[in-house]
Amino acid sequence: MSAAKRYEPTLHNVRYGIKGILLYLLPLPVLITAIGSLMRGAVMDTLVTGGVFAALMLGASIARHGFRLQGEYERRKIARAPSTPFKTVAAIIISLAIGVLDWWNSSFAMGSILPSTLVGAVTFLGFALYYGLDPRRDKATGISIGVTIDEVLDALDAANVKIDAIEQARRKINNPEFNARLQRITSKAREVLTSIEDDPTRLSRARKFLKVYLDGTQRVTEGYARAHQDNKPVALETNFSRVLDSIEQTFAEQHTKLLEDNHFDLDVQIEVLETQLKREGVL
Amino acid sequence: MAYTLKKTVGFILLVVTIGGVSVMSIFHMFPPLF
Repeated sequence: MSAAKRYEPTLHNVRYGIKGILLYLLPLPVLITAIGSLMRGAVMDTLVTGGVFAALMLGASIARHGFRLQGEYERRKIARAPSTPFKTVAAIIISLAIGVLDWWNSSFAMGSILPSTLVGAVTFLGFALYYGLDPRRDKATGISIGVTIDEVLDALDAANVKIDAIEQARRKINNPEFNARLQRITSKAREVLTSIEDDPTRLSRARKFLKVYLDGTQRVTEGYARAHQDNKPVALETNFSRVLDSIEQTFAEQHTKLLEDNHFDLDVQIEVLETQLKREGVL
Repeated sequence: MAYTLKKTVGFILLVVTIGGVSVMSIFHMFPPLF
């Protein structure tokens, strides 16, 4: 694996609905117990049940994060396995909390350690069966000779980081027109990445295109956002508008060409865009 | 079929363990009532 920055897909809104809501609802009686303990003035009981409830809520939140990462992993045709096994961590936290709570239910009797451990283990099993554990292997479909999974994933990760940077810069720009155009550009960029995921052989042809386009757009957007914060020279507005025009137009064409597998046109148009970006002082 | 069975068993185990132990904690807290 290369030293390229790992792309964190959580930045995107992947809808994962109410999956995991059960993990929040089932422990609610523990909250009642904790409040009851508090009202009775039982400090130790309050600490144990309150702690268990907090651990269960933490476990549920970690599990939800794991579900979201898995959703992203499943959505992508090629993807790296999540770097941290969030679902497994959540299952362990929840199982431990339930084991401790069960032991507390038996007034911490020494003879109940084994049954409570068993209850914890069964909770883990239930989690593993119902929600499953984390994907451990990188996912690759349709990888053909000449392109390795690491190459494709590194390129996609790097491109995603750049797109995120563009979006971050975009948020600093107040001009609604530029904002909308940049939004269209980034969504088009993500479409290109998806088309590479669909057919990784496109990577070799899209590499230069992604680099020139994304690097250029990132630089020009960040530069504009920076300048925009200080003052607002009219010339800059016009230049930026013109650059956005060509980027948007060229990129839409590039995407189509990439899908059409048209090598020649792709390269020619990159040269044209490159020249224009140079002329505008972006590259 | 196997998938549904796995999900169902997992669901029951979760409800019985997390739900069951949680409810039992109330019983433990207020023993005279039950």
